[in-house]
Amino acid sequence: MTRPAAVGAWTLAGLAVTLSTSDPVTHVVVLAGAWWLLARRRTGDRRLVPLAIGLGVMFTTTVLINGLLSHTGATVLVTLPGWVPLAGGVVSAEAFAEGAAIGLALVAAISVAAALSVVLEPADLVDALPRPLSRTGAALGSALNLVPATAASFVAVRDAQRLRGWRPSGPRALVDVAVPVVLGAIDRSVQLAESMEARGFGSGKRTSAGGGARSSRAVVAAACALAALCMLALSRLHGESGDWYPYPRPSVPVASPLVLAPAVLLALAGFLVPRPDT
Amino acid sequence: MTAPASTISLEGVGYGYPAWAKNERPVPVLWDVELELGPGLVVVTGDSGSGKSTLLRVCNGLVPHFHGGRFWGRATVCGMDVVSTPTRVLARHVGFVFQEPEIGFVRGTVEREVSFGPENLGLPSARIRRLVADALEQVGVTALAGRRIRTLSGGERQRVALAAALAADPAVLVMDEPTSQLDDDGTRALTATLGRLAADGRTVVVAEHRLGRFSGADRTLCTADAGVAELEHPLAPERPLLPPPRALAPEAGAWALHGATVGLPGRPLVSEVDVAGCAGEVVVITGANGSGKTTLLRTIAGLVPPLSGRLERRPGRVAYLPQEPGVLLHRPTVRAEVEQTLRWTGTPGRADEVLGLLGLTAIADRDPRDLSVGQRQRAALAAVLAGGPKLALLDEPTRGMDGAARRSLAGALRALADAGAAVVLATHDEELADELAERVLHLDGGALRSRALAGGS
Repeated sequence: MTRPAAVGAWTLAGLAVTLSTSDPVTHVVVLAGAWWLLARRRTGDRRLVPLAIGLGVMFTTTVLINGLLSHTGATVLVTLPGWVPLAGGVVSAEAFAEGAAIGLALVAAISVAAALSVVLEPADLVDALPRPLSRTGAALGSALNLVPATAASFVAVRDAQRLRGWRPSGPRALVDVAVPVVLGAIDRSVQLAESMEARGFGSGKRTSAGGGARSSRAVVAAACALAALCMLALSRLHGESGDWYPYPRPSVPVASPLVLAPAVLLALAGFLVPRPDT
Repeated sequence: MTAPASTISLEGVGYGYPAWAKNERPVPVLWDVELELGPGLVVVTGDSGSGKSTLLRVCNGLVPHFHGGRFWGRATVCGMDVVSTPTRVLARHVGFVFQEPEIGFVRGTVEREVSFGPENLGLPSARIRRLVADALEQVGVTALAGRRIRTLSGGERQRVALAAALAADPAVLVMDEPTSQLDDDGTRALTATLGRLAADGRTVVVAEHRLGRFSGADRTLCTADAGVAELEHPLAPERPLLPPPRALAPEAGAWALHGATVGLPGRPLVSEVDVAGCAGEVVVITGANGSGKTTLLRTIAGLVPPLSGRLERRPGRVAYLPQEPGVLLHRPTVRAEVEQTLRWTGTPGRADEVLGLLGLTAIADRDPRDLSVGQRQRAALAAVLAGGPKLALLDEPTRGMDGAARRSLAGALRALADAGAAVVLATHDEELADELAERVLHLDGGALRSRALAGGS
């Protein structure tokens, strides 16, 4: 078992656990596990601040939209006049609580999915695809490699133009950076295609030298992720979904051990994912 | 794999790239070329834009299959007709290393990158692993096997590209300026490897400007005027770039690093250096691939903050030429690029002066993206040097340049220094360093050694 395969298994299990319940406690545990994984197992110089800001904006927006537009719930905080478009009517604590629960689920699910791009290199992910998909995967991996190259190109162009005297004076000035970046991306795509052609891509059936480094830690991580899925199925068979609703009155969510077990196993699987190589 | 007696045969081959404008006829880059190449080491030289890269691309069918255009005559490689055999099939017999190999990388790690070619050929896994290990060893990069490609220096990437070409065990190996980013050790290792491959019965074709690096070549060809000729005296001494450096009068400091540790976060490359350069001085930074030359240059440019210590620079514009000149060029002509810099810097003056200084007048109205790598490099130089910078920082400025272009560059840099600018170059080009630099800063194992040259202080 390789590291990319373990991360792939973890992500699949994480999405299943997150999307199968509305229990906020489960989502908090998944979110904590996901962010530990993102922070401690990220590759290279991946930055987490933009992701955190994006998730914060998404959470706040969800809470506000649900809180202002739901108009249901017994604990009325305020009643907005009817002429306020869409938001006019009662604004309740329950609506905000539900918005927070939905926002938490969204943030947890996106954080889990982000592991694929933060914890893995695109090429690693493609290398982990099953053999029948290797040709498509190689093409996909090449295309994905252009993404970080284009991001790096943006920084290189901006630095180079700045030292030539360019100043970001407005949207029109951005053309002097955007055009070389786009032209560079096209050039790189053409040269990449030329290189792949020259290296025999598409000449016949591909084989594989075998995936990346195998690790027993990755096996245990994947096993824990699989165990989380099994526990999830078991809890559903026992009729425990752990779903939480704030209506008619909000209550403190209390998850049973059986409901919480998949999220805890998932967090454990995250701890066991091997560190990235250099 | 062994090659037959004549591996590459060109009979009356001509080629012109496709014309972009309506009613425009393709300009022939090759014209009725007759060539027979067998096993051995063949070096192809010629001016920038004379058709070296095009000739090399005929050997694996990228010309005409990938580039289109008009092709005539008959070309065969390993007995296969180039026109009727797709490039991806010729790839079983021809390994190709591009002039800018880093752009063609497909995978994330060195080992996986090198295995890409053999995987495409459908070889068994065990054989691929053996071929990959052999290729890495031949090029001397076994230690890099598990490294991420993006963490490698330019020279290391070039060696990985060679290993990737060798891993498919080709009968013909074609390389476009493979030493342009290699340090001395890398160049020596490469030429020794190529010599061994040629002695093994392979046909090795290398495009190169500096023939001294391939003194053991079996044949030397020269491309000029769309033709290819055998060069009789390939190692005739080249005209020196410039007269010896003049004695340097002490002048004001232009830049200085005080107790600076240079590198990337978590990866220091040069520790606690105190080094400075003055106005009118040409300093050359040398060192092995991956030693931190580019990072040091970017630190002096202010693009990368020192990890500790501080950078000091006198006021004035900084010109910076990155290793990939393409990032600078986006205007429709070379002249427009230079005019852009003059406009941005608010410098009075005409683009023609800079273009003339770098020998670019003849191609001033051409689109930079249609130029050869060497010509593009000069266009980028003109774009950054316009506007009278006070500090010029150039990363591998002679990459892809022929002798005449290197002389123009050396002259332009000397003129710049004489006008009071401080010039710092990171390069493996020893000839340029010897003839232009007052001082050499050598990076070795995280330490920086300073050596004054003739006339320097």
